[in-house]
Amino acid sequence: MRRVRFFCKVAFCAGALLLLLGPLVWLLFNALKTNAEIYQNPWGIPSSPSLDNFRGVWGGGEFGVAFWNSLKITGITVISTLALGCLAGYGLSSERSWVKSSLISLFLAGMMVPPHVALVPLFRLYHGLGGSDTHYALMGPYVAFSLPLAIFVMKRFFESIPRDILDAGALDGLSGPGALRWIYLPLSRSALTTLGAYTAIFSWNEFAFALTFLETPSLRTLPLALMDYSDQYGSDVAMTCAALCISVLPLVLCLFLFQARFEEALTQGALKG
Amino acid sequence: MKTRSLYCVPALLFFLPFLLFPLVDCLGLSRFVWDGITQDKVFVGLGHYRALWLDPVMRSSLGHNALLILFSLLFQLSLAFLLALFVSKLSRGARLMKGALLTPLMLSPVACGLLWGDLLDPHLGPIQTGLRGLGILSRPQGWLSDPGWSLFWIFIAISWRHVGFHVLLMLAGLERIPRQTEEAARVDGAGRLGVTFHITLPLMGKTVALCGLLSVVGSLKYFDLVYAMTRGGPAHATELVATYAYKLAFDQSRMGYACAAFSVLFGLTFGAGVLYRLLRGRSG
Repeated sequence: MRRVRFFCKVAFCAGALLLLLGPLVWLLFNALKTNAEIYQNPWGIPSSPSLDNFRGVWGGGEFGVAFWNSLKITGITVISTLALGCLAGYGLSSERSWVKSSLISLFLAGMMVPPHVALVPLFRLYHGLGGSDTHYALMGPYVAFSLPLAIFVMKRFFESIPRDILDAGALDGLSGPGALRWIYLPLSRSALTTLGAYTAIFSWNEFAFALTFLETPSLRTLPLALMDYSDQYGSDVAMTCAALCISVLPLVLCLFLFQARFEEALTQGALKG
Repeated sequence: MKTRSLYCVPALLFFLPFLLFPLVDCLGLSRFVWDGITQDKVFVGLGHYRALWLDPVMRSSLGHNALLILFSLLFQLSLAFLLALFVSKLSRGARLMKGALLTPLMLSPVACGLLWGDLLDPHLGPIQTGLRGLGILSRPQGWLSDPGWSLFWIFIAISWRHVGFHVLLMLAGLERIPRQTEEAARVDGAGRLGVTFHITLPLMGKTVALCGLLSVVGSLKYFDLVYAMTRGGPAHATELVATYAYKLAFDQSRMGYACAAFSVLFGLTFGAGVLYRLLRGRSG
């Protein structure tokens, strides 16, 4: 009986793993095949795996550029969100006042606004002021829409720091900015990485704003480049699969390396919101 | 310590122009007919909302959103609950399972949509060639260009990407249930299923509600995945409010009308959020 149960468990695990990871394994296999081989044998393991497709995609140039664009936008968005979120989270923590509670309600309401709402108004704003078709046009809304969650996570985290530590700091003359820099920040490394992961996933994957505001091909982000690539070369399955692999790799690799952090980021992000 | 609120100023410098202003502007623009290029706007008041109510495409888009929500709540959440129960009982391999469950979430919605487009390819995709190999399908089917099937496959792609996320949340919920409660029920003679349905599930109420809210809000916001997979086609068969509003704004240049549709989207999302907060507040 024990054996049977164990066997069932293993079988269920294997089935779930196959359904979850199968599509990605298939993607990788196809990226290593030639088109002719895909047509003959859409299921099998590549007979003579080659990196030619990857070389072809990367060598085309657009993908390398898009990769760095995405990296740059994600980096700046994450750093700005964390910095501003820390400041505001600190500002809103502990004592209550009417200013603070109204700010809290404002940010809370901001968390429930779908980003798409901003597309037309920002389109209008950018065309009035200039600034469309730049990376700043994306970073502004990315930071703004990531901020409410960041503020609440940081606020709760700061409020959970024991009073004694702050009192001890105050005795040593640390208050205001000093306390934030030397007491709050060093303690909140785990909260910051968690939030960083969450924000990074959002801005690395974001598509609607990039689609609306970027026109110059050299400014495109990865999801946009991917979309264009599949529109142009959709019939070249092997190359499209290689392109997909390249775009998927960074975050999957990050998940592999920092699984615990990602799990925490996703749960915390949802629970604190 | 009054000055402490000043620490919020830098955040407000982003929040106000890039979130609050666009929201207010979107609601405001929805009262005008505007093509997005010229300066002249014609005031129509709430006319756009009336037109949306009568717009057959908007109605079917809302219907598709509602269907996605219903399916997500019924199937995705129950599947996630079962998977969470299963993973929580695993003595070994739980880490591997969690990693595998989260991997699809690392794909951008665009990549996920394109991947599923390839998987469903009538001639090369492993799903159809496999089903044909097993003799279940007789000839290639253009599922994504078939209005009867396309929404179903979009739902499958969405579930594939998101189920792991809900499993993770439910696992966190399961961990918070004290061991003793379930053991006490066991001692009192409850069976395996009894414990699951009468003890575990009711105690998971909050987590399930949270997952439900996230599915509802998430389903309302779907855009990229559908855009990459079908562009809302064939013939609006997979059109959602977000994709329809996007087309109105940037393909048809009906900015005011699009803003009205986006405002409806905002109203629904916001309503779901407020409702959730009220319910949670009442249950403590």
